[in-house]
Amino acid sequence: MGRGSSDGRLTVEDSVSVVLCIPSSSTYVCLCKSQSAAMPSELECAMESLIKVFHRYADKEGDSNTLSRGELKDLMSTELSGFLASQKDPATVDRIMKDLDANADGQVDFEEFVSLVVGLSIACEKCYQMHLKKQQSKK
Amino acid sequence: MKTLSDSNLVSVCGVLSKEYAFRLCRRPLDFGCLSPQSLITMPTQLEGAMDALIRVFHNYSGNEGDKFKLNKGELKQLLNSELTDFLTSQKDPMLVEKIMNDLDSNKDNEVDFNEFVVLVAALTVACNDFFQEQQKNKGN
Repeated sequence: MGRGSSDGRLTVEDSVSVVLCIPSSSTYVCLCKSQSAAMPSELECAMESLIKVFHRYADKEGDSNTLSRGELKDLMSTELSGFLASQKDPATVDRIMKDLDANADGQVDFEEFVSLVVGLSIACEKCYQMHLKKQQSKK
Repeated sequence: MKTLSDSNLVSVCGVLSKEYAFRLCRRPLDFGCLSPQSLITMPTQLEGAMDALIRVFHNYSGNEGDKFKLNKGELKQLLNSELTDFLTSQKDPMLVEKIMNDLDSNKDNEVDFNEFVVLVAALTVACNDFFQEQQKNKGN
């Protein structure tokens, strides 16, 4: 499967050519460990958390598979309160909603939500790397 | 097609403060640079999940060579340990090679965190699709 994007942007589908061949049912079953006695790994727990957190807020109003603006605001105020507090711009939630809602339907679906999580994780990991490198250079 | 363009990330995370990032990472490091307030609050479930992604990646990337990237061996170890059932459910012995090839977008034979996290995102989206289908079938 070829790369979908020709303008250099990273797409979820770029990494999915392998994953798309995999029946999503087996992926989900592995994630939930419903058919094995083994404990879920740390990575599996993290992935499951993303799904649980999303649906905890998406289920509140309207379409239970998407976040409305109000549900997104709820989610961010509760789950990312520290992040919001560190932003000087009071319109951060609106800005993020506009950025995430790639198809401009006023709703954020799971894939759009995951791009927020990915962005935050990448930004944090960069800070962490810088910190580690600084520490190493002190030695 | 969903995209994670640079402009999306910058817009969303452009003003991410270092303090918040460190609190999120919650490493057993010297936290002297952080204010006391940021150490008191427990991470939320979402923050815990993001922290886990970073921690898992670094547990394996730090083993050999470039400490901030996964070489093929480290990626294989990570997949075998963290996604065991997922790998064994796919009968393809070349799966790790295929995943490495897909993730290594800049072809440097190493997978950095940006490349790794997209795999996790894709897997999680696939799982959620199935979860939503199940929920829909329950409702009928």
